[in-house]
Amino acid sequence: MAQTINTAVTRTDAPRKVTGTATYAADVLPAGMLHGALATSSIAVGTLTSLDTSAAEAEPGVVAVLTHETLPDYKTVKGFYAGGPGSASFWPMEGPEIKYAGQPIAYVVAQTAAAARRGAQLISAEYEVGTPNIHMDPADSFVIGAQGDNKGMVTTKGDIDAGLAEAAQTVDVEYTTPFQHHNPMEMFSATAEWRGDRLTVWMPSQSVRTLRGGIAAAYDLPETSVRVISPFVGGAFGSKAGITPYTMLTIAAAKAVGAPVRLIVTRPQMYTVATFRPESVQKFRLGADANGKLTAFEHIEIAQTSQFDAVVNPGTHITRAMYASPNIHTEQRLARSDTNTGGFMRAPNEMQTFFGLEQAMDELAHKVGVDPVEMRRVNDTDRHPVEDVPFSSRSLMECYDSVSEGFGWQNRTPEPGSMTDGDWLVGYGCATATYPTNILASNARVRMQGTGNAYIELAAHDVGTGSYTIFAQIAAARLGLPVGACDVVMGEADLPVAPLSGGSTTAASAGSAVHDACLRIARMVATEVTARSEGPLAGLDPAQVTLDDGVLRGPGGQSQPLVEALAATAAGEVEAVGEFRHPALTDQLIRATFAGGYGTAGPVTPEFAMFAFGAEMAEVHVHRWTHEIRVPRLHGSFAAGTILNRKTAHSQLMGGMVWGIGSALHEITEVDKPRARFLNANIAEYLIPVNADVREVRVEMLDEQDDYVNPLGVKGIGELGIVGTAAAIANAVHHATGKRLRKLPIRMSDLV
Amino acid sequence: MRNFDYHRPTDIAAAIEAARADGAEILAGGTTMVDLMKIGVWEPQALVDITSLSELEGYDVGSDRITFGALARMAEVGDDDALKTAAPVLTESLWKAASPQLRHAARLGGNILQQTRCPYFRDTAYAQCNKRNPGSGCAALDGGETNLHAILGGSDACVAMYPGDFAQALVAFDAEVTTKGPGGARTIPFADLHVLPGDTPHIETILNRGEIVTGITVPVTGALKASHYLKARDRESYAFASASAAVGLDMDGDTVRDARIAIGGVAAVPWRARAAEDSLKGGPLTEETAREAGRIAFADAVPLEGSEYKIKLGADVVAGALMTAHARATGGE
Amino acid sequence: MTKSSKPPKPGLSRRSFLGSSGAVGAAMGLAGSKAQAQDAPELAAQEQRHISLTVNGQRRTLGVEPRTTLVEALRDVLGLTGTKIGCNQGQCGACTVLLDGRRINSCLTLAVTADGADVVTVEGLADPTGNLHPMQQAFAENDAFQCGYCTPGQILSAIACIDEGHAGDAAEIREYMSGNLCRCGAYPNIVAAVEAVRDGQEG
Repeated sequence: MAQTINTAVTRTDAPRKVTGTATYAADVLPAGMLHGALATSSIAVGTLTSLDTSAAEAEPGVVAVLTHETLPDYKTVKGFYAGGPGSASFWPMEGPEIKYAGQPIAYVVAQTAAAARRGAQLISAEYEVGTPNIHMDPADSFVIGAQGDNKGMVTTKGDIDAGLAEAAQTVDVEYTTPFQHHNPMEMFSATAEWRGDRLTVWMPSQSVRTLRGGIAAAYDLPETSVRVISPFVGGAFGSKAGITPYTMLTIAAAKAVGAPVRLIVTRPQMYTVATFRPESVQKFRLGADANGKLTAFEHIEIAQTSQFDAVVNPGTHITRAMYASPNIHTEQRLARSDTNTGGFMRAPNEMQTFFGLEQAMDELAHKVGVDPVEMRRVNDTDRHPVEDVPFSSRSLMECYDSVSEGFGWQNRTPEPGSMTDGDWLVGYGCATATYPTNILASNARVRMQGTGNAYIELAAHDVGTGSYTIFAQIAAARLGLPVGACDVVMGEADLPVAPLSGGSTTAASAGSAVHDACLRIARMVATEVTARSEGPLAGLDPAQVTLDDGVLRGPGGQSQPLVEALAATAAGEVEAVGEFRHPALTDQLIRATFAGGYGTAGPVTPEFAMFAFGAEMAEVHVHRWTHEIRVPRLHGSFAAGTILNRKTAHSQLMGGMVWGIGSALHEITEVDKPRARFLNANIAEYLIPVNADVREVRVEMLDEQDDYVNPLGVKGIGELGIVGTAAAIANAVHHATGKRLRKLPIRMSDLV
Repeated sequence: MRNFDYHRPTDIAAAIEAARADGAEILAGGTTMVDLMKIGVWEPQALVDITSLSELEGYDVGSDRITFGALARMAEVGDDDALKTAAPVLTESLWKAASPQLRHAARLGGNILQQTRCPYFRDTAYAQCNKRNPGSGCAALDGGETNLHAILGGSDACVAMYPGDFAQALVAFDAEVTTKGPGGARTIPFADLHVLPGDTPHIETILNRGEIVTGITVPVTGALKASHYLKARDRESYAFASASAAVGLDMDGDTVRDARIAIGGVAAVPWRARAAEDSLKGGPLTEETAREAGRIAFADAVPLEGSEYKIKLGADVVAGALMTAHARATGGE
Repeated sequence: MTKSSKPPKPGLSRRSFLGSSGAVGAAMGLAGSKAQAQDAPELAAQEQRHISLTVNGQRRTLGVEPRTTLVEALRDVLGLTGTKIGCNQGQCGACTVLLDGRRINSCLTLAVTADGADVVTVEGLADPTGNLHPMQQAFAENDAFQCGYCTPGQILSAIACIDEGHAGDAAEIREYMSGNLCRCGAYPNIVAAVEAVRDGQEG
């Protein structure tokens, strides 16, 4: 059954998803359920001076209106960037303070969703209004690290000014990226049901254990009293990782009314009650010699953060790993403004920084007069440029060679504006993608039956990534069973520990724990059958028995399929908990993960730097009359270690590239500056790509072996696809039009 | 959404009677009405569902006039092959609008009364909106974001943009709207249906309370056959126009006999560019004259902060649309 | 939310938000009615209108308010949660169902306006023995989704796309499937699934 790995396996949850029987959180309707709705602040900064709830209370069907004065108490949850499980450190409805527009100010419970939402509309508030700033001021930025200090947030190697002085060509450029919102198709929701002191929460989550731990702590409950259930998640992309205000308010509301309450957050409210991608400025100073070889590399990232958290997503830690340079300087800076706290949104450190880096490289290549692909080749490196350790594997140029050939890069004529197709200007652009291989501890329980079934259980999540399928594949391959005989149960906090599904880690970390559980099962079965008097393996030293594609093999060529051996044991059934503990994981990191946190090691260990790589090429058309920008072709070649499922991996990489089209050409959360409100808080005016925007997307997955990252050799692919896309498109726009656009998104209005 | 009374009359007299009541609104496809009711912008006390008035359904592509019932669906009309040949601007302005689902629900009578997408109008958190709350001011003009607002036809009270597509085709080709109301039946030139915001942006059309749009008529002209709707948008589909043009040409050899130009995505109401049309009549249609017509169409535009691009974009879209219409008029397409 | 100049209300007591314990009890009975009353489940206590719908071939009578949308009637009253709400504003297509054979957004459709209509949801596509509709099969095989949330709406839209004659080539499919957003970015696979079903029907 080894062929189940690295093949195209149809999702095991596909039948449920195509029939509407996959149960998402808001599909659960507990008996007696009431409906919640949020009223939110119209102002961004100030104090609530009065809140008139009388009209809402008089609305037929409304059962209760909760305010900061009437909400049942619970302990405040610490924010993620302060080391806690919360999406932010500031919790609304604890007092009259308003710190961002769209902050919840009241919670209405009613018999129907429509009555609850109407009740929320009927609440009127008065405020003492302060003066807000929704945009950061990059001039007012500061350096701060995740621990509140600036450790690791500044890198200096060599002498950047000397490197620039000796360069044949330099670029000194600044790129800006906007606020963006995840906008998963599934709206945020939470359903809470109390039975005495026992609480059940249904909520789409990327981290059920984070949720459970935080909720239990807030109510001083043992974790055994809290169930968190999230079997299917309708897209997350970073937005469903932490405990959010709407979760805690719904739990409190259910407690207050003594009935289950479900809140479905409205699409506009989704823009303010959870996280987003902060706006940023990316400053680059690069120098190169006459061959394009870098002599200086400086990157300063300034990212927006709220007034009450320090959102540190250190993109400079990724860019500095990219290209060899004798002189390197990076700084990770923040600047505050009046919003809720941002967070991680698909490739949170990489999307915006690579939009900058890969355009800067293109600009420099243009100045030097070398082909953009050659520019990357001469600066490729097999050692981390700052940490000076080798990469565990790095197939960047193999990716470029692969994508160049399929795309037809050689047909590109270098001069901007030199290629046309009818009324369309044509441009080709390329860019590098990379994503760090993050390592987290994980457990997984596997129960195998001699009748030929296996059950795989872990508190991991399938947010559309295909985890249900790949865990079944791993177990099937190891245990020698058909994929369909391996049943995966996930999305419940009570299951064995698995990490937060973020940072492209689930397949690598949790998958390795599944793998380990299968090996343990094999050892247990081998121990029992070798001790028996009969059977092919009888009498052998169990330590000498190995598992090979579902078959137990002795040193002398003896063999028995694992499932047959298991059937011969007394119980005919065996269960094991597997563990993934990479040598780079310290006790502290493992404990953090087990406590519901994100205890990640990597991407740089004392031995190796671990990254997945890719190369993308975009063909862009710009219309002569309408100036519309379209992407008829987008190709990417990626090397990310072992590919477990070629079908779902292809989808993930393709989906990332589609996100890149969105970032390049569509996505921006617009703002109303005077009142510091997000202006296009919907999905008609916050543009994301529609079907017609996505034409030929070609994904190649190269073979790459990496024995260091984990036993499966898996790196992450969930985010890799988006990383180079926006820059590749921007570079192609420059090639088509001669216009260098250093901000996202790139719109018609920039090209008239 | 506020709750409301719901009526579904089966004859038009009863519908008019129900619709003339204070607080009553007419409901057809509901794609605008229900949306605005949900977000609390509109709060009618009663809805009069006219979709049982079967005499308002259907449409007819005749040789001298094309008539649409008010209840004809955007999808059925936009996908009609005969109409595609007879009047491409009509089908193109329909199928390039909204989504298939919305076009199946939305009716033409409601579509022409489509509401602005001005974010300040649509978000009741903004106290200032003269259209939603007369006399309260305009948040857009009070330091707000104006990159999507009207650069033609706006006023100091309101710069909300009319977002529709089909209406541009109707205004360019001298369509008429038929109505029935408490005062009887009447025919309204489409160009007169919408009124400029002026000091009273909450008054959007000349329709009276209880007056129901029953149909739309478009006279068949030479320019209608060689017509085109060009819609420029950052997203390929399911997006409002950043700028659009509904144009048509009737050529006499190399000379423009008749030209029609209306521009969308830029004005407070459906916007006919008559001076631009006149600039073309009697002369040749070349890339140069097309571009000049585009410039003339925006000669009176008043750009707001962030919407300066619309003048150049709009002019280019007019020119591009004319080139396609010219190809159609001369058998080039 | 509206700003008002009403006088501030004195501080509410911790208990004043509950109308009465009776109200909660009554509400619990009603909201749980889905499982209990098979004949005419109702959504709320007041301003009820009874409508009848033929849902997936089955005639259903249900009580709704005038403001109840079709998608809320399907999900919260009839318990047919296969139809998803992605925006509740007609902007995403997740709630697409077939209403009298036409694909529409059920979030912008008032249930009362659908009185007497025929509704097809994702639950009505597989045959009674559980065999998947060809479009469901094609979506599964082509990996035409990831998270699966937009999928019921995509599938109904895709079926309509072919029925309407808008699946001529990939470009036409892309345009006529653009009313269904997919945030996972499965669009090329969705197009492949529609092409597969179209070709299967032709063959």
